[in-house]
Order: sequence, then C-alpha cells, then structure tokens
Amino acid sequence: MNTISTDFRFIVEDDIHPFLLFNKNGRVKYLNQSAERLSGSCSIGELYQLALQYAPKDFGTRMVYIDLHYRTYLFYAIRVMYQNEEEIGLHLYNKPTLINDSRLGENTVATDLNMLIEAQITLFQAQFRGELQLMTDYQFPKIEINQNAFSILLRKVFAQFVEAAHVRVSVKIKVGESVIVDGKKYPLLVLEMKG
Amino acid sequence: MQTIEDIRQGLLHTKSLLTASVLVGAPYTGKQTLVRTLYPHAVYADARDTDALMHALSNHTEVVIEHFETAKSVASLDFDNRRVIAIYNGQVLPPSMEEKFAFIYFMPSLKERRGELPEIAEQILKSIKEQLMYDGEVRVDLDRLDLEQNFRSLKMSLYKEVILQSLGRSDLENILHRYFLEHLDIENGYKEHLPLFEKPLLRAGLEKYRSQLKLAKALGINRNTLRKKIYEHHLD
Repeated sequence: MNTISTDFRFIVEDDIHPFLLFNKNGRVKYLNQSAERLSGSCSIGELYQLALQYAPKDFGTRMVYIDLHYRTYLFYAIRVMYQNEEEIGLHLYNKPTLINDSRLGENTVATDLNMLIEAQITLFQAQFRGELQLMTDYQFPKIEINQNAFSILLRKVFAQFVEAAHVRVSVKIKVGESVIVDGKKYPLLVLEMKG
Repeated sequence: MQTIEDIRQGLLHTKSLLTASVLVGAPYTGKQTLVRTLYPHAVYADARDTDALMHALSNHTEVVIEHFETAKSVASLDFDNRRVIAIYNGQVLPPSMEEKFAFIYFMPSLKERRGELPEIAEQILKSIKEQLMYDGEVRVDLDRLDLEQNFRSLKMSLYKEVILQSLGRSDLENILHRYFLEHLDIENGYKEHLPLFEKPLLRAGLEKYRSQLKLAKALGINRNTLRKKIYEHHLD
C-alpha cells in the first residue's frame, strides 16, 4: 500500500478529463473543472445513470470503452469506481481530436515559442509594475508559426494585463489533441495567461 | 515610460526573430542612432521613396524603414517573414500603422531623460571641442540648455557655449567691429549701440556682486549713475 500523504486534489481539479463524484441519491458531491464545462452540454442525471449502468459488480473500478457524444464533447471511454455504498465516481476520457487545416501552414517558420514570449515580456515589463510569472518548458520543440502575426496578437493580449497586480503566463503541450498540416501530424501547445 | 535601456534590450531580443518593430518618438531623440548601432548591416530604406521601400522589402530579410510617418499604403506592406524596424517621427502612432507591428517602442524626449543629461552633454561637448580643436575648460549649466528640439537644440546650445567661452577680448572686439561695420548707418549711432556693451557689463556685474553699492565701486561710477543705467536697460 502506498502511504504517500500528498494532496492530489489539484491534479483531479485540473484534469482535462471530466470527473464527477455522486452520492447514493445521484446528487453531485464533487465535479472538476472539465466536468463543470461538460455539464453545460448534458444533464447530470444522464451522467449518473451512465455511472450506474457501467458500475463494477463489486467494490472497485471498471473501465469501459464506449463512444459517447455530448454536443461538441467526444469520449472514447469511461471509468466507474466506488468503494462504499454512499458514493460513486465517474471519469470520462476525451477522444483525441485531429484538426486538418492546411491553411495553418501559410507564411510560417519553425519558431522557438519561448523566444517570442520572452521578447514580448521584455516590452511588457517596461510598463507593467506588478509581478509576472512565466511557467514554460525550454525543451519544447520549435513550432510552425507566423512570427509577426502571432507577436502582434501577443502584444495585444499582454496589453490587457498592464494594470494587473500579478500575471501568470504558462505554456504547455495539449495532451490528446493534435493538428494535421499537409498530412503531417503536429502536437498543439496551449498558451494561457491569467491576471 | 520606456527607458533607453528597455528599448535597447527589446530590440536586442528581436534580433533573432522575424518580426516588425517600430520606434516612435519626436524628431532628434536619437532613434536613428540607436537603430544604426544595433543594426549596422541592415538594408536602410526611406519611406518617402515608395518604390525603394517596396524593393527593399521584396529582396531583403532585414530592413530598417526611416521616416515611416510618410509611408503610403501601409496595409499593403508585407512584413511577413522579415525583420523590420521602422522609425516613426511623431508622438502617436496611428492605429492603422500600429496593426503592422509586433513590438512598439516609445523613445522618450530629452526632457524626460534629465537623469542622463550630464552624461549626454559631456559626450557631445567632448566631440564639439575636438571638432573646434579647443582644449580649454567649458562650464555648462545643464538647466539652461535648450532641449525643445531634443538633440538638435541641445547640440546648438552646446556649440554656442563652447564658442562663447572660448572667445578672448580680441575676439569680442572683432565681433563688435564686424557688427558695427554692418549696422552703423543710422543717426544717434553712439546712443543706439552703447547698450551692446553696457547692458552685458551691468548684467554680469549685478550677477557677480549682487549689490549696487559694490558694483558702483567696482565700475568706478557714481551709485546714482549706476541706478539710472540699470533703470534705462530694464535690469531692475
């Protein structure tokens, strides 16, 4: 038995796959941010019925591979889990999305995204008096991008935060999604700014 | 407000990127000097010559555009996959031009850079003295330098200071001689031109002695005469 005492709740909270915990009456006891967004596209009752339908016969977990479709949400599998009679959990797994758009390749060059962001931060910090935090991975592969068009967009986005007391910029690879340009598959990066 | 160091660092950061930057600021604030220092090998194009500008943008990947405020058909200029640095003379960049640039820098005027003024003035003064081959001491009152037209008026006031402070008695006599030759063609010439040397003499004396009594003694004239002359020259 693993006895690690770290609080794992934030991992569940930020998970891109929806997770819901119901009580025995079908009421939601907890749902993470992805599940909250999903609840705008389907009813909670529908998800509770799904959990009951695919629940393991005894205490424990059960993984089922099924195609589910709720408006724009596509799932390829669910996992149902319970270890007492009071609550039951449901985890839905996003289907990898492929975007096929050859127009994305126009006027682009292989670019170190971090360099564009850092250059924009240098300009931004001449006016910004708050605290800025950049969370990135300097091992990211170069990405195909129109440097000027993207930097203009970055400049405008940064300008919205100039009065903020604290700005957090994070760059990460989006797991489970990719883009196809001219028949070639590329990973997607997510740039997020919070102020 | 962006400092010169902010702008320099920003432009250095973009040296390896294919993006468009613009340096906005009043004339003679040092925009061109800064860009020429950082981009000595770029192709320079003047926006007043549209054909030359188009040619530079079509054939080169690193282009500095001077006088961007005069550029025509800005929307049609292709900045993609190029390193463009534009120099814009003016205080505000119009939104149609702003849309073209990833990085916008605002060059502060010399009045906004008072802290740097001693160093700037010293450097310019050194170069002026070298040009004029003058090695005497030149005292500069920084508060009295003309910064209205930034480096242009600053240089002019420093030139004047060096010239004024390097003049000797014979130079002053020669200047007055030349002036009188040109202007001595009216009646009452003595009375008309007397203030040319009397007024500076009294002004300097008042500044130096700060007392009419002491000044009258120093000039060897009666106190009442001095008071009358001060009144006549509106120095009271």
